[in-house]
Order: sequence, then C-alpha cells, then structure tokens
Amino acid sequence: MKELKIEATIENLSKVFKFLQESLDTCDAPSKVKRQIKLCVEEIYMNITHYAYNPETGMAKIGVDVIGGENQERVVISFVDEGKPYDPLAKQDPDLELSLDDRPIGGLGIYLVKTTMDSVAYEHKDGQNVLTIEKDLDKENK
Amino acid sequence: MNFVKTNEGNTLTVELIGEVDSMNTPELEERLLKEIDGVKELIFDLKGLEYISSAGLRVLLTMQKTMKSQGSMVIKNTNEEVMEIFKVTGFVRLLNLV
Amino acid sequence: MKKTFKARFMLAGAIVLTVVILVAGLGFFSQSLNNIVGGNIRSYLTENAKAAAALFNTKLNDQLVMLESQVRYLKDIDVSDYKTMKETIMSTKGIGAFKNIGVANLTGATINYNGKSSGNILLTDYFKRAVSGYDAISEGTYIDEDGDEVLVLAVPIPDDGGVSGVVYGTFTKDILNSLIDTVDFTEGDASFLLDADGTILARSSGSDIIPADIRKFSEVTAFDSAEDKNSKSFTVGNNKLFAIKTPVGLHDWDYVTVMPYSAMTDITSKIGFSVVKLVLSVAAAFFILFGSIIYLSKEIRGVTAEKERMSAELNVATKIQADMMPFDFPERKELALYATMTPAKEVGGDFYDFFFIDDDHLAMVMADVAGKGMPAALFMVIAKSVIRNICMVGGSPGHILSIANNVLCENNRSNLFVTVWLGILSISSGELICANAGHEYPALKRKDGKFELLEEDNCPPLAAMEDLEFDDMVLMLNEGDALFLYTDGVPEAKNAEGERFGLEKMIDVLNDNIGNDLVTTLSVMKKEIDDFNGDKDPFDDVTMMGLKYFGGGNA
Repeated sequence: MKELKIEATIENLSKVFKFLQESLDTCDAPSKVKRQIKLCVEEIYMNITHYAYNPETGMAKIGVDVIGGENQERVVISFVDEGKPYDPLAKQDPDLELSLDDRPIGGLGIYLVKTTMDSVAYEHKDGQNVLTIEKDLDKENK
Repeated sequence: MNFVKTNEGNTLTVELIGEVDSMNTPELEERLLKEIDGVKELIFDLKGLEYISSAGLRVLLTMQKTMKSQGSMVIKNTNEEVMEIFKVTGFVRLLNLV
Repeated sequence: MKKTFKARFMLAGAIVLTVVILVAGLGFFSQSLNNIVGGNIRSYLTENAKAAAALFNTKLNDQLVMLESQVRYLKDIDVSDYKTMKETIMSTKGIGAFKNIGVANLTGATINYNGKSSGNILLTDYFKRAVSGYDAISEGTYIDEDGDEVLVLAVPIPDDGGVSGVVYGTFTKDILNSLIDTVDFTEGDASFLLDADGTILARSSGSDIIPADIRKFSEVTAFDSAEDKNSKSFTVGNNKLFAIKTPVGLHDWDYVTVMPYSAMTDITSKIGFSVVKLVLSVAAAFFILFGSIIYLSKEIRGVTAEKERMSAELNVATKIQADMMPFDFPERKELALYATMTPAKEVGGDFYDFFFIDDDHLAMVMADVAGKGMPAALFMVIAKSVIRNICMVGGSPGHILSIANNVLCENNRSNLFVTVWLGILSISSGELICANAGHEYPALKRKDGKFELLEEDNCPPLAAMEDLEFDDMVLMLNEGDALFLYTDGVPEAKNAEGERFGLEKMIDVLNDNIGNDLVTTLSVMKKEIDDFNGDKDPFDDVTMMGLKYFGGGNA
C-alpha cells in the first residue's frame, strides 16, 4: 500500500493527484475508471480540507492499495484525518460547532462518490475519521 | 487548464482545455464573470475538457444563472466521460447542452 | 439569534449533565456505578422491548389493512349463496402471508380459499367483533381445520351501511414467530408474545434459554404485581436470567424479552461509556431539531418528545421511521394505491408518502435519504414534512422540489442528500405530473402492455446543492395503467454471492403479477427479495409503492 501524508489544503490537491497517478500507474484499468477514481479522491480530499479542521488546517493521510490477482483487480483508497468527527454518509453525529455560514460544499461531491464507487465505508476510530472507497477494475463501468 | 476565448459581437465562445478541478475553479469563475460583461450569448466549447469535478459543475451552474438575466448560455461538444458526469449528477437536465 | 442561543443553552446543559454524570460515576465505588448502569440497562432493554412491541402491533395492523384490501378487491361477494361465496373466495389471486383466508356469512358459515370450510365461527370473539363493524384480531389462538394453532384476523364486509359478512385470515404460530424475529433487535435475547393469560402465542427463534416446551410463561417465573412488575431476575436451570415485560397495546397481550444475566455484565462496561455518548447524541439531536424547528409541524414535536428519553439510538430511529409511514390508503373508485416499507437492521432512510392536496389531486412521494441511523432518520422526518407542507401550498412538482431543495440545503448540517420522486395526479383527468430528483426510474405499464422503466434523465438529489431547478414531466394515465415506485433497496438487494437482484428481475416480477392486486404484487416482490437475500440480512430498506388507475369518474 502506498501512503501520502499531507497538510489538507486546496493548494496540495496537485500533490494528491500526482501521488494517485503514481500509485495507479502499474494497474491495468480503463482510463474512464481512473478518472472516476480521481474525481472521488478530489471530492473526498476537498471535504477534508474544508471541513475536518475548519477553521484551521490539519493533516490528511491517503492510502492507495491495488488488490487482487491477475484477473480481478480492486483499488482500495483510504482517507484518514484527525479532525472533527465527520461522516459524509452521516452515520456519526454532525458537528455542532459549524456556524450557519460554513456551508459544506460536499453534498454533490459525496453523491458522485456514492454513485461511482463500488463501496464506501466510514469509521471513526481512535479519534480519527477513516473513509474507505473501493472500485473493481475489471467490471464494466457501472 | 487552458482558457481560450473568442469574441464575435455579443457572443463569447470559451474553450476549456484540460482539467477543471477545485484548485483552478476560483480563478476560472473570477475570469468568466469578468469576460461576460456585455455578452448576450455565452458558448462553452468543451471538446478539450478532459476532467471536471463538482467545483467545476458549480461554476457552470453559476454562469448559467448569471447569463439568464443578460442572455443565454449553451454548452457544446461534451465528450463521453464528461457527459457521464453530467448524467450521474443530474446536471444533464440543468444545463443547456447542444 | 434567539434560536441559536436556545440551542447553545441546551448543548451547554447537556455538557454540564455529561460532566455531572462522569463525576458521579467516577466518584462512587464500582458497586454504585453498577447500580446506576444497571438502571440504564433496564431502560435500554425496556425501550427495546417497547419499540419491538409497538412495531409488532403495527405489523399486525398492517395485515388487517391487507385483509381490508382483499375485501375491496373481492368485489360483490354475494354471501347469501354458499356456492357464489365459494367461487368468489377461491378466485382470490393471493393470500400474502396468511396461512389461509376465507369468507363467512352472518350465520358464521365459512368457506376458504382452499375450498374447504373452517367450520362455524359464529361464537368466536373475532367474528362477533367483525360483525359489529370493526376490524378484529383474535384474543388467542384457535385450532383450524388442519389441526394447526392459528391466530385469526377478521374484517367486516360492508354492505349499505351494515355488514353482510366477514373476511378472515389466519396466521400460524410459525408466522407469528418470524414476525417477532423481524421486530426484535437485541442480540442474545429471547422474546415472547403472551396473551392475557400468560400463554405463549409466539417466540423468537434461537431462544433456547427458555425451554421450547414451556406453554405458559408463569411456568418459568411470575412478574410480581408490586413495584417490580415490569422486570424480573430469575433462574432457569443453571442460568441466571433477566426479563422485561411490556404491554403490546392489544388484548392485554404482553411482550417479554429475556436476557442472560451474563450478557448484561458484558454490556455494563460498554454502557458505562455509552452513557456519555448517548447524552451527547441526544444533545446533538436536539441541536439539529432546534435549527430546523421553524419549518416543522406538530408531527416533529411528537417525535422530539420521544427522543428526550435515553433510548438506544437505533430503536428510536426505527420507531421514528415506522411511525411515519401512512397506512390509510385512499379508497377511491378511480384508483388503487398501496405501499410498503420494510426497514433493514439499521434505519436506512427510505420513506414514502401520499396525501390529497385537494379532492381531485393526489400527491405521491418516494424517497431515500443517504446515510444510516439517527441523523438519517431525523433528516427523513424533516424532508417528509418539508415536501408535504410545500405541496399543500401549491405548484408543480418541479417547483415544489426547487423550494424544498433550498430549505433542506439551509438546514443540512449533516451534509446529507435525499433522492426524491414526487408525482401529483389529477384524479379526474388522469394527468400525472412528476419530477425526479436523482431517484430510481419509475416503472410504468400501459393498459394492455408490460411494465417498462421510465428512463428520463434525472435532476440532482435534494440538499446536494442550492438554487437548483427541477423539471416536470407530464404523463397521461388512462384506464388500466399502472405505476410502480421503489427505492434502490429493491434492485440493489444482494445475495450471499454478492449478486444484485437487479432491475430486470424486478420488472419480470412486476410483469408476472400484472393480473394481481397491488397488495399481492408487492407481497410477491417482497418475498422474491427475501428469497434472494437468503440468510443474509437485508442491507437496505425495501420500499415500494404501486398505483393503479381506473379512469376518472369510473368504477
């Protein structure tokens, strides 16, 4: 598994993209799927930058794992941050500190993630938000 | 991302080439709002657009709303992948696609 | 702002309360801590039992509604002639979950769907009640013509202001047992349904802590009539057990949950820390509600009062969802409407709604909130209310969704979104205007045709982004047309191999049941999904709604 630890700011998005490209370089997926994954990574990463440590910034850890043998490859990407408990799938309780002006931008982004990825799971563990997305690479696009 | 504009009278054609993501959308929106001053028809030519995220969708929607009060806006030459994004998010119904 | 101040005050109060509890807990000896926690366990189990009992009651009433639909669909039952009675009841297309259904005339003579007679039911409690014009559930079990012990549900056949006969349905103990399995949430416990005499009518599966041959609960223990009348510690063999009893709200029946004492001591430490979490959850729930309270109706205030108790979050959420679904399906000659919602283990956020905007306009809603648990349940309540209220003000579905979208965006701290299909039917003309915000495509069948998906491009879901416009689609419904709405719990149901139920299979099931009434069709679909799921617990709520149009001003 490849990991990137980075300060969650908008400016660092290009570094995240570079990391993602390197991690998925060796895997054999159609470019459409790779773009879908890139889109989901951007949406989730941007949520962390906007939401997790607001109004300050903090660290985000992104892990990319390509699993499986020759025929079936699956990409598992995890996002870890130590910000306020935030579940984009709303399993946890929402943040109470958020003022009316801090409107989360994520609604549509999370919708995209849910509809394009094969699995989306959230966990709050040891004071960390852990969001994991998975995409099968061999199936025909959903 | 590259921004290529062509003015023809009251019509402005904007070509977006490359990728529109959360980093370049603030600048893109600022520039677009400046450029549409006095424009009656805004045309987006997206044949060179390879990638767009929700931030970019938001900009397109903002531009469409703004153009509604001063004219019209259309989007043309969307490639298959970008069209898929428009479909999944339901934006295919919201935007004027030709 | 006054609103925020109030909410912050509540939050501050909740924090203070939390601190007080923490200090109190730490300050006492472990014995004292156990006492406090033990009381909470009792509340936790009691809430569990109450929610299960209420849900069980609801499900039984659900079945009564099914019987009433049978009465409507068995048009013109001529109960004066035994031969026509027999022909009519045997022509019924389906009996749903019942073991048997039948019809009785006023002398108590019966004839069933399987062509046999159930004997004379004139002296039974349920017949007497049904004949007086009320839906009835038998107070205990009866032995049917096969020698099986059954519970009987009965509904009157209305006839010009009076009653001409009774339609009844029977449930075996096996079905009652599985009904208990579907309402029970606590692991490792055994649940029982007791009649007024304490006879066990049904029990959950896998409950071997109480021997299977026990007929009356009093053989195991008696609940004292003193202060402890709703809970009891007792011993069976070598096991120390703990039981909670709560009324079902029907016929003086009780719902009893039994847990091994050893399981409770495991819970003790977990609950100790959960106490803090629960207080914070309640505070968070209050905070969201306060933020949205301007838009909410009395419906919400009732729910708020419920949440004030320290219940297990899941059971409250489930009860919220179960209580919200309307069951009073319209009785109009121009149309038939039926819907079901079967929740998954964890509240999945599905809901349906229907209501008359005026005498000639019926609104139908099918929706799915993203997310699970309490925040999804709360958002669902808000979304349902907002949509309903804005509909009543007027406008086309697209316009209504636009307004609703902005309202929901404004109050959307949880970053949730909800997919919605909203349709408004003009009953006399058959004009159906609908708008689809990211929801599954409806299935439409024209008079002599087959079901097909209405694959029109969708708009985004509600609460994802503000200031969106939603398009209207207009359909003309004619006599014999039918519409089927559903949430993704239907096509996305998965079996043990990870395969999807799929849209094609759903359409096939619909087309196989074209001749059937809505109740049967939805029942068959549910069964197909259950069979497909196999042993796996359903991951998502399964929600469906069917509409049949018979024409404006027609019978």
